[in-house]
Amino acid sequence: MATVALIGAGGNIGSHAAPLLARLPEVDELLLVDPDVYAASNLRTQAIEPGDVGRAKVEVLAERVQRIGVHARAFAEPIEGLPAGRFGGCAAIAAGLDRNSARQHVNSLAWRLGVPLVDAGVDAGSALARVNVYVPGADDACLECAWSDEDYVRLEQVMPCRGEASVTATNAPAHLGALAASLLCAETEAVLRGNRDMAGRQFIVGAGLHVAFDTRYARRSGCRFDHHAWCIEPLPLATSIGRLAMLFEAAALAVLGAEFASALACLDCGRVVEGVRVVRGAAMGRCTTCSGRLAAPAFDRHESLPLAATLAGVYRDASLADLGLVAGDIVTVQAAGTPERHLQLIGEEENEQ
Amino acid sequence: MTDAVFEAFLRAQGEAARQLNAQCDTVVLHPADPLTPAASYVAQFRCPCLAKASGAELREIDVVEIGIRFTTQHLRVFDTVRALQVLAPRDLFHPNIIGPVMCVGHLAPGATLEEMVLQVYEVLTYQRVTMNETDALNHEACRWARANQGRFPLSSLPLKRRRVRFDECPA
Repeated sequence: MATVALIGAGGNIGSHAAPLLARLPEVDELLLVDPDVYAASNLRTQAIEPGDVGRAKVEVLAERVQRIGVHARAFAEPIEGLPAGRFGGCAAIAAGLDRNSARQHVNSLAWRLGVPLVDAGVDAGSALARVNVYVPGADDACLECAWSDEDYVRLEQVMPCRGEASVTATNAPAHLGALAASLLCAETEAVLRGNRDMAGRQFIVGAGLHVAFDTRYARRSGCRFDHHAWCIEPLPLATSIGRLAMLFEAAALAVLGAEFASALACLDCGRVVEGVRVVRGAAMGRCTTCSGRLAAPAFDRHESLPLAATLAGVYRDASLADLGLVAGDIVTVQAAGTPERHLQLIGEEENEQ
Repeated sequence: MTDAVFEAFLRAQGEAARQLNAQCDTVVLHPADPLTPAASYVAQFRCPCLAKASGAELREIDVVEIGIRFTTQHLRVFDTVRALQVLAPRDLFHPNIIGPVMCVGHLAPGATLEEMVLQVYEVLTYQRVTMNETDALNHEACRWARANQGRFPLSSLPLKRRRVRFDECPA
């Protein structure tokens, strides 16, 4: 039996896909990720009822999945804000996302964790439903292998002056979302059954023109993603910085999908708050003075922390949790001249098991 | 993306920094880290800009320092806040700037040093201004800018020095 993550769980594809995935005989747990709340406008395009409007999408779907008899865990957050290790135990990641930047993030996670990614999408204008399968392997294609320079130019960006990148609604009819959801589930089931032949495949159904296309993508040598899959070891979250440096003779510490900030600036009043902490995604909390959005400026951000120099003093006895790291985070430690080591932080309960 | 490709990109930016220093009167670029090739720069702009401390008078300044950083993910993801920072002075007066944070508009992943420097220069000299108060980072500067549109751009000098074309000179 397997755990499957559904990222973008509540949308035009995800709302149809969640119960279908729950009904796969191989699945006994679903992790549902979507930050949004159902709006009245979703009634016509998504598999929901009037009573669901105003509720978190993942809560609605988790109830539905649990009624089928499958355990569900709901995460009402953007995927970029969740610790990567939450998905390490998954047999597959299914995605029905509406942003390429989120797809890119999920692609990185899947590859680092060595988990197959099944990604579905729709094009309402052409009545197309699409599903792609990416299986991390030595020569296999990832999502970005098929991206052109133009795709990178069009990536959604978070601008400090405009806040979150706005997403244009797909406006796809419910039947197209349901078609993509069915393809997503069929391919996920093939992956769960260990069908390696799925790697790099794209299947498109043109519902309007009654056509179907089966394509296979190859690894592109000029792909901007490094395709590194990681070997990940466990590490207690309560480990102190000093002990971490000693245990692994580590000179630097990095976090998958996050950075360290030594200061945060308020985007409304300009106030700067000092102190080392982990920052992930676009959400960095609110200013205590004016409740404006906080952001970590470029030169106050660090992809890795030099342990000896930065943490020897004030932070020597601090734990990883004191820096804002949480169970499920995957940290990378590296000393000069040695290979990187990747460690998944585990909480007390997981540690006792 | 291999590390070798990113390193090649950084080396190209190092060469671009040398060329910009040779061709520009308005900006000087210094590597800001000891690594070779450098992954961050301090760009010192020598152009008319506006600054205003809280409760003080608006003043004109002529030197601004901006930090430019290339993260290891720069070729895949571009995030203005992760890439650009106002280092000095911290009281620049512009609708797109608040404290150390600035918004220069859309730049694609893999944006070059020259593209970033040009876009920052356009912001500093009020050639690029957010006039919508709900989008602006500094609302006071936005109100001022809307009321004083005739005063900018503060400089219309091109970033790079124009070269004299001797072949086009009259005999």
